[in-house]
Amino acid sequence: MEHVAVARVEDQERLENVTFGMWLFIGSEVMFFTAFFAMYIIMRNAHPELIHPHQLNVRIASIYTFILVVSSLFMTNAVNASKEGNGKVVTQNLLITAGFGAAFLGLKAVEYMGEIREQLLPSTNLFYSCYYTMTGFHGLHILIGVVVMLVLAFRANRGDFTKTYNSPIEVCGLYWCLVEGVWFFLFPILYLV
Amino acid sequence: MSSTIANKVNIFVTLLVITAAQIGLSYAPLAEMGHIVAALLLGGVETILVGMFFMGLKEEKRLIRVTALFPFVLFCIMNGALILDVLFFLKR
Repeated sequence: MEHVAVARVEDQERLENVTFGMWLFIGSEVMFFTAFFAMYIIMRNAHPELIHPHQLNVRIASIYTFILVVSSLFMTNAVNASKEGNGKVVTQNLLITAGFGAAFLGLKAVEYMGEIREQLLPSTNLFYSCYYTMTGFHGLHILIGVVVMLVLAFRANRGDFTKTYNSPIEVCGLYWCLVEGVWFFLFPILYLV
Repeated sequence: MSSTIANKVNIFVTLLVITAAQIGLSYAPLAEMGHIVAALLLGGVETILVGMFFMGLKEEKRLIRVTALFPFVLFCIMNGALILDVLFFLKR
């Protein structure tokens, strides 16, 4: 009985430590993207002639936003299910979220190909240089998230997570919300104004 | 990272409404920097909603909340100072 109580306390402590570590990581990621936003604002001011509102595909970008917001709903479902020890629901929700992430990446690839076909490359001008850098890094974060979710879905299906041990799912949920939060700034700054 | 389903759906709808407002606002006759400030403000509101309700900051301990707030404040200071610099110094 005492062993069980000790194990629970250890699990709770591990979750708190892991969550705190993840928040520190999120902080560093926010600063990473902050530098990009600062760079973009400086570039806009230095070369206003390169920026034309709505020069990128706003319709596709709105779909990206929708995809990310819906996917985060499924991600929170996965996290809540993991707290209840429901591995099947966790697996389903993680797979759906990963599917949305893959859809985002697929659409992004289509968008990139269209731009490359029109000879709008990173070397075209400073705007496209910033655009590819910012969306490229964001896409890379999505790709990492999708891979991690697939691994976690496999592990959840295997029964690796319990009511007391679910910190990887919790941390993955935080990461996915970070990716969504960054997009809330990228979308208007690059696509709308 | 927990919330009731109704709460999550409310936040989801709010996020979509704010996104629609961002798109609408981008067609409004504002100065260029006005557009950027509006975009950053609305993006900030969306991020706060996600942080509070989807990431569960509302229910977290103070240490975590401060840890989460700190980079966000730095983001505001850095970009706020930059925008002020562009508006009041570089444009002269």
